[in-house]
Amino acid sequence: MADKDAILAGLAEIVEEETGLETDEVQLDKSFTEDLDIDSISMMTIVVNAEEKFDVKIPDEEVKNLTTVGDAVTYIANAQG
Amino acid sequence: MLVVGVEKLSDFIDKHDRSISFLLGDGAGAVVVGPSEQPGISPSILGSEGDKWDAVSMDSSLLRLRDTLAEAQATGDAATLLDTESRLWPTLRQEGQTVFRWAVWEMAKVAKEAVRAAGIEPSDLTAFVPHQANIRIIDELAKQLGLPEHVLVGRDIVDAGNTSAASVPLALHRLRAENPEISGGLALQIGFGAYLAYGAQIVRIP
Repeated sequence: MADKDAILAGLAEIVEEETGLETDEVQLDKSFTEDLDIDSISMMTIVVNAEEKFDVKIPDEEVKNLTTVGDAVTYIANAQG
Repeated sequence: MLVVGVEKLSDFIDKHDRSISFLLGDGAGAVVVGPSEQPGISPSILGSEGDKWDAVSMDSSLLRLRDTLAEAQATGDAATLLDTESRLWPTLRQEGQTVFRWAVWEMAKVAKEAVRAAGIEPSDLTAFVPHQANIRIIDELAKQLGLPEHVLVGRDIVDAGNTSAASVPLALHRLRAENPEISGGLALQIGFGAYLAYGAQIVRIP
């Protein structure tokens, strides 16, 4: 199982780069849209950068299911095997 | 030879659809292509991504509308005719996130291929004139290409909107009007859009 803490930390860096949000604001229970105010276009940039960073594939149809940061961390951890 | 790109997208929008309609505009652009002592147009990189054809497409077709109207006319029912027209009038739709990913990361590969096919380096470019789809796509695409700072980027969309087939000539025209010194330089052009078709090439700016 991949280290979820490491995935969260890496994802927080990607979110910071795209949005300017501090990394400590990116918590597992935060909603990308409701809490972090990330729109659909920024979300896709984050997804593509996450694919590259974590060497996983996140299909377009899966992106809408990634409501919270925790959803994304879990998806990436599972995709890494 | 006269090459023309023209669109009247206002006929094909659903004003209640926030995903694309507010981006679109009507426009026309044209260029005269004539004989030259030196090459002025590079090989083109052309293609389409058929498995995602419906990411940008019409939700009906004028042919379907015509045929269905012809059937309704046979009945002579005016209410049915009006209902058929409003129901089947085609409007442009898109899957925003799918299109954004494709337009930035896949089109960056196509743009780089066009530069290679022309036998030049990115530093040889004077301007980058992408299809004026959306300012977010333009900015992210320019970032992904890592173009040198001196390369001017067409951003005519801020005034003209997305004019589809007219957007590249309109953007190039504006860039040249505002920066006449770029005439004679090399521009990387890339067009992409409905049914996920694309084309990229390098041209010498008139």
